[in-house]
Amino acid sequence: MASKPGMLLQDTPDKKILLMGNEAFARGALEAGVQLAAGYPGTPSSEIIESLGSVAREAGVYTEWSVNEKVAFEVAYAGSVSGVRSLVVFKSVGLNVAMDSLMVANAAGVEGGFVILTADDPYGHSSQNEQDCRCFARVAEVPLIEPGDPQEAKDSIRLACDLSERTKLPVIVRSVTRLSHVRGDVTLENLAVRKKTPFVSETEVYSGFPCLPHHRMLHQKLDSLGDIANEFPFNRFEGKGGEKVGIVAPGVGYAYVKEMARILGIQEEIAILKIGLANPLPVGLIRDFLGKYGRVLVVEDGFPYFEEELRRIIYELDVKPEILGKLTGHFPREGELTPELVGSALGSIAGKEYHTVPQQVKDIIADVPDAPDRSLSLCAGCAHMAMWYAMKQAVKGAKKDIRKGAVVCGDIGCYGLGLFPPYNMYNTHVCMGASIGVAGGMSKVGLGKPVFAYLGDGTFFHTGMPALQNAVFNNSKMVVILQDNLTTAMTGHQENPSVGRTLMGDAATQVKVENVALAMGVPYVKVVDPYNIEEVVSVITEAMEIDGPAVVVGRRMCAELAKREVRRRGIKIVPPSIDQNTCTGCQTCVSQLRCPALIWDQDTKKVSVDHILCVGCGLCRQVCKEEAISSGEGVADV
Amino acid sequence: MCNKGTTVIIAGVGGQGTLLSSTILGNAAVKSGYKVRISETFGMSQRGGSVVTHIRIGEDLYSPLTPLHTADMIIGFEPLEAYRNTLKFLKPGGNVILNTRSIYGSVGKKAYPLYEEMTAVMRQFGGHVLPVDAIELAVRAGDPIMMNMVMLGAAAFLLPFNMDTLTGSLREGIKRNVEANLTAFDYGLQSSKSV
Repeated sequence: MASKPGMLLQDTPDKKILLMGNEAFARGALEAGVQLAAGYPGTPSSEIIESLGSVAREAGVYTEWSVNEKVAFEVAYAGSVSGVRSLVVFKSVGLNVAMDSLMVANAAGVEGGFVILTADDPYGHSSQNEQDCRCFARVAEVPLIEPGDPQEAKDSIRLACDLSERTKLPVIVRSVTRLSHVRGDVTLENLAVRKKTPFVSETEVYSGFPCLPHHRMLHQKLDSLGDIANEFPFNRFEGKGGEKVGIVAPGVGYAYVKEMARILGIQEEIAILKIGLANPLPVGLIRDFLGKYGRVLVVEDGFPYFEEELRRIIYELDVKPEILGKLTGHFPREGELTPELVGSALGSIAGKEYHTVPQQVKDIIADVPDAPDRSLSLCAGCAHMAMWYAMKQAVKGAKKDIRKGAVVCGDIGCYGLGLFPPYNMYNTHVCMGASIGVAGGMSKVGLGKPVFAYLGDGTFFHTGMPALQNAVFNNSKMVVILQDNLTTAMTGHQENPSVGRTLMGDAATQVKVENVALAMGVPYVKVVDPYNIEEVVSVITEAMEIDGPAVVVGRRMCAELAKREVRRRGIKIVPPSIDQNTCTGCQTCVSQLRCPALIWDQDTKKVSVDHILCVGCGLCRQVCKEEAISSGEGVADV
Repeated sequence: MCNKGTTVIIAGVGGQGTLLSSTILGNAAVKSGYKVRISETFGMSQRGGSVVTHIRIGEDLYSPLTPLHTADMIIGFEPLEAYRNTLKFLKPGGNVILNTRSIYGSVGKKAYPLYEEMTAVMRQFGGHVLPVDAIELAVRAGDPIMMNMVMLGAAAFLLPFNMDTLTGSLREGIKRNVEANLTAFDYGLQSSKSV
């Protein structure tokens, strides 16, 4: 949730305001004079482009949601090549999609400052992996800045633009979940006033060809950064030289070290080197630091990136300090940093035990009831639960578990919840757009089961389209369930080609996914209403008979959006009632749909409806075999 | 050694307005000249999950997350969420302000701990435990959705801001029905006078 737009545009230097890390990045772009920004939504990065989008018109910054990260990268690259400062934003895994373009843009070079802002997600709170973009910066041989708090988040964009223009290289800025989604006090600077007139050279070609001279130039540019790396503003040495142990703490790691050293009372016993540039390394600074301490602990989120680099650097030293971190068991190799992990590691090397739970608290909570977890669920009225129910009805022998009768390849979106019980929908669940690609292979290996691909509109436009074209090309027999909820729902309802509107609010062609499928040559395309389960079952049954790819489009507005629309139109939601005499307590509705608005009463062994959560979709009425549920009114009517 | 300032945890379930409340506290803290760190877990907030925000206010603080059992106060928008975070974050002597209305959701009534057992554990920590029927008070102010403002009002006496700063940042943070929200805040404040 981004804050009020006006807040980002106040031109009040030195004023201190509260900003979320992602808002601070957006403010930084405005202060740096970024003129073009593009991105693809993904937690924890989405609020950056959303915040910029909310002020884009007023600030004169062209901002767009692109259909995927690679396209977003290319859009922003064009801005840079035209001489204006440009920004591309995505989450960790987005960099994978954009990598193909980065691996040429690095050598082809840039003109206006070109910043690639990547938000990593250590722990994978909202991601399918824990990748670390610092490793990618090394592969692409481009500079990477690692800010550690909201203030540095804001300042990093200007620094990255300056660095990019000085070296003519793309510059990556790395955020992490605990920076993007942390609010803190940030001191503002002036908004940029200078607007550059874009100009594309009429003689220069931006290309990686010929390869060798471009690659050589890339190395020269990177090598020229040696001194800049050592003097980079986010670097900080805190110590006197005689401390027991040295701590290397980039990014958010620094915040945990400072906090936990205070709690442990060991501030005087440790020296800290905070490093702001992960590529190229400030080798001189690191070498000096390593020379002072016998033991050095690396506190970093993500891969043991600095830890490995430090091991490389000590190779050149006469006296080699011990390097401690994830490779020596001082931190786990998976997951994110926490105050407790940092407290324990600092304590163990400083000879002070860190008690995460005080004895007094241990005594209190020793023998008390547990706090049971709240399980995640789809939203009330979500069309995915309808579609999943219908698929299980259509496939033979799959009423309880679809995988008994079919192979289902899943994709990235809210429907990721289908991974968990009671749904258990998928055999595979890889990355954006992979459902149709993997289903293509499944259809060819001879499994003797119907093959499904399951994805949404946003994912289809993102990377699902080439895979569907491939399925047509190779006549892969599969049923593609394409759920069009008219938004990118999972990340907070961003615009995509299905919406009919751009991020900046301009009208856009509303692309119908069924038209795309037909144009690709898909032999069977039908559009169904997921709220009509009988119809969906019969269409899926028919689609399974097609000797090639069949696309079943389920079109229903995301229930959360529909709920807003219902309110806007003043329609009253009338939840259905469940006749407690007719309800046999068979639990088909609660176990198959798992709608959060259906309540199972352990005592009466009957189901009732939560009137606050219910949106009146009517799905529970359709699945009830006893006809105990009346029809309601609400989102089904918009 | 101890910071001037405080650590507050607001705990609820998706849709209860925890994020808005924490932003209001954060803005009041910045205006009062404090350093602030607010960390939010809201990835799945629309999907019935727990939502927690850590609000750390002080002069010498850095960590985005609250170290276990260092929170001065839990503001629980829901009893089980207040309890969950008490078990994890409350420090000895720490305070709990809790809305008394339970949301059973996916937990179900059977697995849901008894209210009296949960508040008994909270009392063991030795600070104030202030139950507030915040929905009732919010309804009286005009809309049950203003429960979060009632809760901020009830917690205000333990916060290191003067009341004008806090209500000022409430005014700035609320988009609609500002006066009704202030009334809700005031009902909360009045309910804490019994402590």
